[in-house]
Amino acid sequence: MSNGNGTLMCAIRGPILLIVLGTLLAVDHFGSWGFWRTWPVLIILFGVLKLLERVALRPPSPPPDVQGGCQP
Amino acid sequence: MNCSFHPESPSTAFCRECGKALCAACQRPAGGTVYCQEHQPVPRAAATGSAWTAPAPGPSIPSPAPVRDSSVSPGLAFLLGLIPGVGAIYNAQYAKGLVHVVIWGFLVSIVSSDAAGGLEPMFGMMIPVWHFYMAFEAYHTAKRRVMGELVDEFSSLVPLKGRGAGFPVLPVVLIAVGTLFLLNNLEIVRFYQIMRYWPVFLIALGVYLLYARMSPDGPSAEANPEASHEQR
Repeated sequence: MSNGNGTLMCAIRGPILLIVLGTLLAVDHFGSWGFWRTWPVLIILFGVLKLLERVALRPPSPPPDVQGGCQP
Repeated sequence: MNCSFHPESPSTAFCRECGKALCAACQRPAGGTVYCQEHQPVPRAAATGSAWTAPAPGPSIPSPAPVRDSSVSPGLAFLLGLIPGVGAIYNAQYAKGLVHVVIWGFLVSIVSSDAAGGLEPMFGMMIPVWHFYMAFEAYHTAKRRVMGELVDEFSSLVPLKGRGAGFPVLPVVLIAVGTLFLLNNLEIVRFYQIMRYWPVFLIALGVYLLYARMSPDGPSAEANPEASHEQR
């Protein structure tokens, strides 16, 4: 939380997932790929964002009780 | 919107209990979410090893003895846990309830559509398993609350302790599972083709356990009984 990038990664995760969910549903309505095909993209994206958040939140010398929680 | 306590500074979060807008100085992050100073939960269990990191500068406050909370009923939590997500909501773990519902919905959707790619029996069996897991998980969480232990927002789902250190298990597993499902859905690599290589999973698990035990700073996340308790 002390790291600005980590907080930023926390803050943008929800909006990015919503944007991608909307895009996938739009593709489902107007395109050829149904949502039942493309939903794993959301899981992959969530994993990538978690990974980026961990990288951004990694403290220089990790204290024993560090917690990098997301703030809603 | 500005902070309820400091009208001159903009708010960046809201208290989960009362919904007041809070600036950065008024936030009391605890258990994976944000509270105001008034509703900041008091750690009732022993402070050492708990997941609470209330930003209290200065010397550590001596924690009082655990207080039993008799208003929580584990039996009711079990019954409500049979409704997807409601058991976690009963335990005031709203985000976890949402995750439970989403996973349950995905399992049902996979079975009811043809997305399983021949693995319908496995997913069909996972639905009742997940259903009863939610109920028993709510029961055990309620029991911990009765005992006066603090449960964070994502208890037994994501270990909040030990974040930022060790191997990123959850992101890697999510990316791998998502990639497998995507390849299957796009009919590039089907599940039955991957399932022939299932011993690779055993090898990967062994390599990961070896890595966790051999790395000098790894045991903090793996050998910690608190963390492994959280992961159950």
